[in-house]
Amino acid sequence: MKYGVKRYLLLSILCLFLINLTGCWDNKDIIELGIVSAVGIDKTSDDQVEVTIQIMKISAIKAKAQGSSEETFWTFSKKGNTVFEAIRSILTTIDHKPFYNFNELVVIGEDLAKDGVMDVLDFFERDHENRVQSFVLIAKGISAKEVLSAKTDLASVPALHLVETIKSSKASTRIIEMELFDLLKGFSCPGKNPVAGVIEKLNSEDDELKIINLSVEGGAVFIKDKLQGWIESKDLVGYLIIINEFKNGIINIPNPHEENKFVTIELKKVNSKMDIKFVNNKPIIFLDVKAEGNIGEQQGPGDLTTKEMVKKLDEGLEKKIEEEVTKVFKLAQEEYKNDFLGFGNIIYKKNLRYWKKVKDNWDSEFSNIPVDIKIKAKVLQPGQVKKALEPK
Amino acid sequence: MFRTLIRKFNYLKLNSLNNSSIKNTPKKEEIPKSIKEIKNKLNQTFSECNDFITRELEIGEKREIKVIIAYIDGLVEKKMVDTEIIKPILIDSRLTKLNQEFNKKTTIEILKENIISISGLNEVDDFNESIQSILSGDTMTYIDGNKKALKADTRGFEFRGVEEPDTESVVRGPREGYTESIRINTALLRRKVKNANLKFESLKLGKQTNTDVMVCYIKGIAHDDVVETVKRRLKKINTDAILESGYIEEFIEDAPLSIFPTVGNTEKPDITAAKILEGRVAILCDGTPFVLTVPYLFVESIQASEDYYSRFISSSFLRLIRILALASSTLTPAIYVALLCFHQDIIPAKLMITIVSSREGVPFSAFIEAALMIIAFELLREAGVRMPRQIGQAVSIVGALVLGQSAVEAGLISSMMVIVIAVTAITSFIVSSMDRTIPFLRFALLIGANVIGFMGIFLVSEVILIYMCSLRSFGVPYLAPFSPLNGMDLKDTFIRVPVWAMLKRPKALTENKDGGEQSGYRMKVNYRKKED
Repeated sequence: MKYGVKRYLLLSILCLFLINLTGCWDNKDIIELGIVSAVGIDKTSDDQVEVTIQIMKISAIKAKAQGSSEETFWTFSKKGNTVFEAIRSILTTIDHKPFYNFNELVVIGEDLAKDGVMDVLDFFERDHENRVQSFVLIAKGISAKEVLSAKTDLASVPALHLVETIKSSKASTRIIEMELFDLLKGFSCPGKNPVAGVIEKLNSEDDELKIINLSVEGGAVFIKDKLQGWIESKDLVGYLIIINEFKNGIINIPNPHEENKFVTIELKKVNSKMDIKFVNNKPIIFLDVKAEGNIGEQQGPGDLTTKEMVKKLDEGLEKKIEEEVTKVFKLAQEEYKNDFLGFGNIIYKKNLRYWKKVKDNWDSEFSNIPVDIKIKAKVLQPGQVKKALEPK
Repeated sequence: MFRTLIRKFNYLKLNSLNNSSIKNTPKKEEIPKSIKEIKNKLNQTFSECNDFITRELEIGEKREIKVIIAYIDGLVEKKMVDTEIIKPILIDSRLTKLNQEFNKKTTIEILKENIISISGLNEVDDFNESIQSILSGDTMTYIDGNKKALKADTRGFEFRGVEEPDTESVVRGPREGYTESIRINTALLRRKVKNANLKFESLKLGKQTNTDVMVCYIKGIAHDDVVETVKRRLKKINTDAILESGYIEEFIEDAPLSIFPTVGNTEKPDITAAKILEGRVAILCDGTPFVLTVPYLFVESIQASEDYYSRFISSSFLRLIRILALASSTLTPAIYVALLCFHQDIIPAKLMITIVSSREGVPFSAFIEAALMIIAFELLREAGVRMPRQIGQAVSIVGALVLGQSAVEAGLISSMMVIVIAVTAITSFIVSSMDRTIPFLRFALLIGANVIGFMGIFLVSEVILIYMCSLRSFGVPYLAPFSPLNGMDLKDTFIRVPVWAMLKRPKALTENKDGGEQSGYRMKVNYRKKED
């Protein structure tokens, strides 16, 4: 009997140890949490960090679905020397415990980005309550606090509106989908500088800032962890093609029948391969692009399905893609002198010895490397009609 | 923990066994020679028994030998007694020309061979046995000057006809169900298995009730050890009354304190037939339509007779559905509480909004809410079973409207919790043979979930699994064929393979020809090829 008691005691002690293995052990009811949908970080004039959080007002969200006009979110802002300090001081204001696991969006103010973002992002990487899958946007010409207080009529919460916009506008190829995790990875990756998404204010006469007055487009180029400049949204096509992230989008080429009219090609499949080859111990950038697309729209008359015309279309598409790509190379090599395309990383992987030699002044080295671009494009299907209707 | 209790329990069992061996063997008592003594003794035994009837007759041409007819009114078919026993004795015995003279010695032979026209006719020389036969519905004929008496099977009493049972209704398959009469039940079973190897071994249980109990198995398929164990355990039973097979179940089950049933029951002869054909032993009990089958394994709770009557693809799908139902019925409230209180981060954002908005303003914690709803459901269910049919509607209105709708509208219970409990309730009806077990598991898991979230669920389910592995039913591991794993026997578990592909009987149940005990688990593990 004594032996048995001892055994059960031992077993229950072992079970107690198991409790330590659990990650989250505190029983916290879901309604005691304030669900944070977005976090914004700005730099204040007195060099402090101002953290803004947007908390979902769940009851209002439900009411909104039934037609109520009540606001669906609160925003709170607090200042502090560090992000953590500011976030902790928010606790003095709200009764719910902020819950960051559903944080979908991190907005960083332009001023802060120019000074370097690593100091504020460390908290997001370190703290277990945060998620690194939230999207990152750099606020251009507007503070993050303003972005988070913008109201929405469409989605339940402004942050969700922005997130859905980012996700759904992949096809427009004017947005960069950058998650916090990828941004942090980009900072640490040798020979590559990250490009983050941008949110900017459109011109409007409304007093109250609304989400529809904001636009998510373009890219923010970083050098190390500091904001260097912007990529215009129309230039993003080339950038996305180079880094092989161009999934589905459209490109306009001139109509072979009539020069000043357009044919829109919907690209269905774009594969690009970045490579660096060494000739006489000098690196040369190679870019190999293979594209396939269908005719999406045609301006002007004419049958585009003849053999001859198809060939002309193919050539036009190749020319157009080359234009777009060259534009981006020019931006990287001449204007910014910044390898945000990631060719340094290829050298790092292929030729470590050479990389060690050039890594300290890689960005200036990069701007002098010759570029060889090869493009093979094909237009496959004309859509539901063979040729455009000609009004008589 | 329970070891001391179990030990005490075993001790009690042992005690009762010892007593039974003394008391239960009825003393043999000779039948008195003189008819007067017999009459006195009968009247003494059945004094104040209104339904006991005796009739004194004189037999033969010379009317010198007296006989007594004794039976119990209501248990016998009166017409049969009148025309097949009394009439031949009174009239035919005098008219028929016989080779022999009637005297005290020859009467019994003549009655047996020439006069009484009843098929079931036996000689009895024990007075106590004759009393017992009278009580069972036989008609006794005592003869003056003879130590033997005649027992005629005239049983015929009112009983319910063969009907479709309410508990196990089927869409396809035989609809007949057992009745309260054991003789009809054996006939139903015999009609399914027309085989002389189908054995019915009879014994009487209950000191006061003397209930007929039969052990039924197929010789050559059922394992001898199991048959022996069943008979041994049945003989050990020392109790006043066996009113239902549930009494027997409690006496013979392997784990009397367990929440898991280790003895199966059914109301349908086709199910029993299938089970004894797999090597199980059935125990029929007079007075109840529920027939026990042993050994009872966990897989049987997800098997249904219809699985074998419909095509294997659809029945395999239904097996999976049933497993899903079993899991969801035990786990859903626990997972919901764990998600709400510990792992909010893995709920999708949109679902989170729905859940939170439904829970806003609810004054209870998720655990209390779930516990309240589970108890409310069990109350409703019990009310539904016990109440008279006429007021069923009232209860369902109160249950559905007051408990469901109003509680949600008043903000006492969240609508999500109502959905969760509804899911567990519906799914618990699917695996109906486990429905007395599931509530305990559900609560244990719920408590685990409330203390340490998913970790608690895993911990509790592990304890349950280990416990299930330790169970045995008549020597067969309760979780067979999953644990110990037997690849061949998996043919009839998660899926049911086509009948033509089931070549071998379940390994854990079938007989080993060599006999004898094997170390490890007690069942022999020999394949027997099915004879064509």
